[in-house]
Amino acid sequence: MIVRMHFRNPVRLIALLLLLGASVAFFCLGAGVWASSLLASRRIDESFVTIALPKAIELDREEQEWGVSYTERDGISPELVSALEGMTGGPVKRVYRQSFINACSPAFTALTRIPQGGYSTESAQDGGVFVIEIESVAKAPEDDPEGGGAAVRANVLETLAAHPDLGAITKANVTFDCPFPGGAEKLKALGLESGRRLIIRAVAVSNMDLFLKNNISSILGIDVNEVDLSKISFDLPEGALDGMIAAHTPEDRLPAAIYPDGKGGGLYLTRSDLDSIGAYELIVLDYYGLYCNQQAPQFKPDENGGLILDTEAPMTTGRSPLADRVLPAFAEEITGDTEEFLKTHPDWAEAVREIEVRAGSVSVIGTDRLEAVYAFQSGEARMIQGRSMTADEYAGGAKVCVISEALAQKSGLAVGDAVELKPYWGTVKDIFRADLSLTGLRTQPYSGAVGFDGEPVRFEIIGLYRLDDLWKEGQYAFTANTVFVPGSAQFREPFTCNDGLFLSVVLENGAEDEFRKALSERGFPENSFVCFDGGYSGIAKSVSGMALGARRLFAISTAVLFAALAVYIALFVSRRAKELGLMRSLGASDSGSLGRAFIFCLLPAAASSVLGAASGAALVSEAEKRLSAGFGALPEAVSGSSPAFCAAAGAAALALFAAAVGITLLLMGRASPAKLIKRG
Amino acid sequence: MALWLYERTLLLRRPIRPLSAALLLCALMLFPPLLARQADVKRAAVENALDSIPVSVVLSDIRGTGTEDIGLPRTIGDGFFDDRPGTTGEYVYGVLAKSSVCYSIGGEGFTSERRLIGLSALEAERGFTPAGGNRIEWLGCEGESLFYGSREACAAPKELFSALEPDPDGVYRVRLRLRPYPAAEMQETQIVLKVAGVHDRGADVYCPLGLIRRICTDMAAPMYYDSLRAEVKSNRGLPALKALLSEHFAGIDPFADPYEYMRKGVYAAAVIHDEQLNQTVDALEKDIRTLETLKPFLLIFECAAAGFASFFLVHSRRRELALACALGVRMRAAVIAAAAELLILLVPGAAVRNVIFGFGAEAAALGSISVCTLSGGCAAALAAGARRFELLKESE
Amino acid sequence: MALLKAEELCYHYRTKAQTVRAVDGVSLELERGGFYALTGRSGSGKSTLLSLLAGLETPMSGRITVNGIELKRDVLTLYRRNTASVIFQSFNLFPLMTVKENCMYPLLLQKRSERDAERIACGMLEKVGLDGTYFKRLPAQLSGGEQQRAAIARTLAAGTELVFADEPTGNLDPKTGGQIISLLRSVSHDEKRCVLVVTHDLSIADAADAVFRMSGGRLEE
Repeated sequence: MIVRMHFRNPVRLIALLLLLGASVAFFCLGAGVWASSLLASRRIDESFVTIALPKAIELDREEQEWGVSYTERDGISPELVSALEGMTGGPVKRVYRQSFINACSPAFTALTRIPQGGYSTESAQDGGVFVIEIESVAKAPEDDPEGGGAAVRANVLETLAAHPDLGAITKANVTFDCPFPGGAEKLKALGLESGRRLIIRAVAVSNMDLFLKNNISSILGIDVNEVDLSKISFDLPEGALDGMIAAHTPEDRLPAAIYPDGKGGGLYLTRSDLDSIGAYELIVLDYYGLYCNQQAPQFKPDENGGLILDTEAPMTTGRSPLADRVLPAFAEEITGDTEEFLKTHPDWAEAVREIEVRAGSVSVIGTDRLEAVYAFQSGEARMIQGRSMTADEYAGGAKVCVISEALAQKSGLAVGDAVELKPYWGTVKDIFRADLSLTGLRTQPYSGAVGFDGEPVRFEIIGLYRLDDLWKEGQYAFTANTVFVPGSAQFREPFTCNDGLFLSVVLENGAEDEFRKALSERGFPENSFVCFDGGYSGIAKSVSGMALGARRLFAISTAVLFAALAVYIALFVSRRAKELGLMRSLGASDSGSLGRAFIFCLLPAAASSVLGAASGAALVSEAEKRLSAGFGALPEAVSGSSPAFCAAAGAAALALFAAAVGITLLLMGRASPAKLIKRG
Repeated sequence: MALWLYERTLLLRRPIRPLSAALLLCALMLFPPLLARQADVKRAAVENALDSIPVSVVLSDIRGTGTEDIGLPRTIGDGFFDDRPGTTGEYVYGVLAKSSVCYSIGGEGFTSERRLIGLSALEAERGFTPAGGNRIEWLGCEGESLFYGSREACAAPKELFSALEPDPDGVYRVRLRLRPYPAAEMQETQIVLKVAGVHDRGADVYCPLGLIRRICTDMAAPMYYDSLRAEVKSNRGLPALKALLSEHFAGIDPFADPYEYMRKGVYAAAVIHDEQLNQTVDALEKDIRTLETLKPFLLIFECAAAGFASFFLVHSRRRELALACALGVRMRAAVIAAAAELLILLVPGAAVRNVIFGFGAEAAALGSISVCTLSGGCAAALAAGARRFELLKESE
Repeated sequence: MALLKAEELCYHYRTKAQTVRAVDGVSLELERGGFYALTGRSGSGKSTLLSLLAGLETPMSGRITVNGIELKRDVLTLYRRNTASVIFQSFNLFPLMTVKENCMYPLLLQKRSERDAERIACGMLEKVGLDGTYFKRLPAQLSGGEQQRAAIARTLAAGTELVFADEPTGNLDPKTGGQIISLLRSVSHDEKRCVLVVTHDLSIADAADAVFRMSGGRLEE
């Protein structure tokens, strides 16, 4: 009946619907405009990352003969880290920590510098297992005065394991080094003589052919790819050797050929240079010889015969104990089928496996925000395909990863593919500062003696980044063999430290001055950081001006809604007084009469709220759809949408109407029925 | 006259109704100029972004694997330093470039491991940037300004410096033999450089780029830039800069054959890092377009709200209007009275609007709202007048 | 026992200028089946007294007892629904309800089924002279007399023991007014309901079983 009653005064009903509907639609559109501004401001704010890099703080000044030297304190002290974390919520948005571990995956083929003209692999991918046949002995074990050394020239019959970038190895100069007691005997026992077949494990493999070409290129000032070894001439100019022979130059240093420079001259090549053509140099050690440093942690044997970090023992100077550990398989005579040999010699099978693992070894960096890493913030690394990780993925430790474009191409991978990462540590768990500061982060070589540090975990590739320099060096640098994952997806106990690549101090945009002041207040030099804000300071005022203007717009549209509501209450709701009195005079209960009046008054308001909100949201949604088509992809890290704001605004308007109508009727209903009837 | 008296009485004794209507109209009239102002603020933000956000140009190899040793011929690289119209330098500033020759000291031979590297500024060598981790300790009053000219001075490696003895005047100098490449014996030359600083970055010696230019000219050897990057002067010139760069540079092509490009005279890829600028401007432009797209609908709803509010205001007093007409007031006078009442309600809003935003601001919107307000009210008044006898029988 | 007993009723209201004692110590008794008139000059407090007796206002002092039960705030709603009903001078029909709906309204409040309510309402409308052609009309489509008859039908349809009428014939012609009064008399005598009519009309006062005269808020002896 209540609905029918409304339709019996259609003019009033239409006027009400249109008044309230237009007001609600206007309010919703105003909310949509405000939301659009807010989202734009947030998108802009989120797209900027302000990062603070620590400068070296100059300390002890020392007079030298030549001048003055300063002993610099590196990086960030624990006290400063603590102070930075204390500033979180103020000028510091967050102190992000990156963590590191090595990992390998059969899906990866790690990058090396060889395709770019580097003649050896990185240490993590170095080494190989080969079957060789000795062609000639360049230095017999007996000829090594220090003992434990030998050198042969060999034909490489089979490459059992080596990084693919090394290419097909057919000839090699093999150098043996067994410096520990008994080494000479070991070499003698190998029976190094022409024709002998050996299986060897090389810890370093160098492409001497490429080395020669690089040499020719740099000395003659020509591009390495233009070096053509077929141009080598054995016709030396007359008198080329005279002076050298007179100077008793050793034979192996006498020119044996010349690479012409096209200008009448050229580069003299010795016999050993010529031997490099098409050859590789393999270094064979009988000990691990792996990464070691002066400040080495101590290891202790575990119950399984392996080695674990001795956390109670202090760091000492000296070599890592693994550096002295003898390789179970370094060189051995081999007869018969190689496969059968590997089956019956598990140490050699393990050596092959170790090299295979190394070919797919990468650095894994866990981060809570990729854009907080300096290289990404500065533009030296950029996402070029797919996407970066979302806030939820960071928080939830999602098993997603971002790899370099170069690594993806090398490995034949694309966005959407999955890789299984198996973590490991090199010889020691801690990355030493010397390496970090000089060369940046490098993958450690895998060692079967240390083994893996957990089970493989599957990660989905969601994006590719491009580094402008694949082999950049420096304390904030990482190579293109680096995989980024969410920090909480990182494997157990990864490495981290308080500076360089591992600590990112992200400031609130535009808070650089506040940050410096906060540093000073905490007793740290104001200028101990250099800040990069990508130009935000230039637009900060504009962005805040936008936000202020948007708030004003929303305030006005809210005022319109309130005013429309006031008109509605004054001209419609308050006129229900007489009916209210009449109902109660006829015996309707207070609650019943108020309820009926409430429904009667709210119906048009509810209908107009729904209509207004729907039309507002539809308009905003349509506008956004059309506009999105004309613009490039905007960062979607910001959630929320303008149509949703409109719908919420409509709901808020309805709630406001209901509250206002209810309160008005309640206040009205306090009067007696007679007064209410008279009022009408 | 009686009608006016009544109107005045009504305004004074029942203020809530006219006040709420006046507030509504005031808010509606304030909105359009505020919206226009907000759009202006955003346009200004776009201009600000174009003026403020730095954009850099970085040269790399064609495959995008490195920014060092790109081997850019001098004829092309010099264009970045030349600010004449039509050159790349017209659009960029703060060029960070490196070029180098081989050096030898004492009786040592030449290798590619020892280079005299010319820098256009300290940060042209990435190792000396805050992220690089290397430092130069300057001697005396020397500083980074060393690299801005072509003085015969340098920053020497620690190991080399430790072997030097100072001159009688206390100045450290080093004599270097120079060749464009180790085998270029015929082009060798010598130079004596004052040591202005000592660095911890390998065996290279760093000097001003201008000096390398002079040295290469002296040696009659071609000069090549090892690396080059620069900042864009004005982002408004980006389209022109991109067109100019496309003459000598390509975009990064990970699968490129560098020789194919070199044969076409393209030695490097030029990457313009304008992502931040584009993201910011795009976000702003989208917001502006949203405003402009929604503006007409906002105005329509405003006019509708104003019109129907005034209609409802007059409609709610239709019995009074009918009574007035029944008592002898002309219909025309009754309509004019209603219109006058609405005009009175419009005045405060218009006044506030004009004071804040000025008379001309969004005058069309103001006019539309006013017209709709008056139309709505007059329509209600006319309807009331036409139905006056029926209305007098209504109890509500 | 009297159906309704009012003792020392007082009601006053304040204006800026003065306090008006609309009802000042009024006591009366109404019997079942009685037809009473309440007369007095304009402003003597008749309508106010009627409002108090009908439960539309609460007296500031004094008490009203109906069927031995004192009328307090908590029983007023049920009193107005089931015991007393009012015929207003200005009809006071719901403007957006049809004549039939107006008549049915109090019956629906009494929790009667819609069918019953409709039957009773239609019967009562016909009794007051409004046939089926009037049922679906809105009040604005009726003449004054027709509206008053609809209001009377609504009140009588409720079937309450007490019927209060405030100048029910004030807006009617003498003939129609006479018919209405006859109807009210028969309702009171035949159906044993108590009817109190506020009126200036002396002929109605003459037709009443008893007349109460008010002056200055008090009943004259």
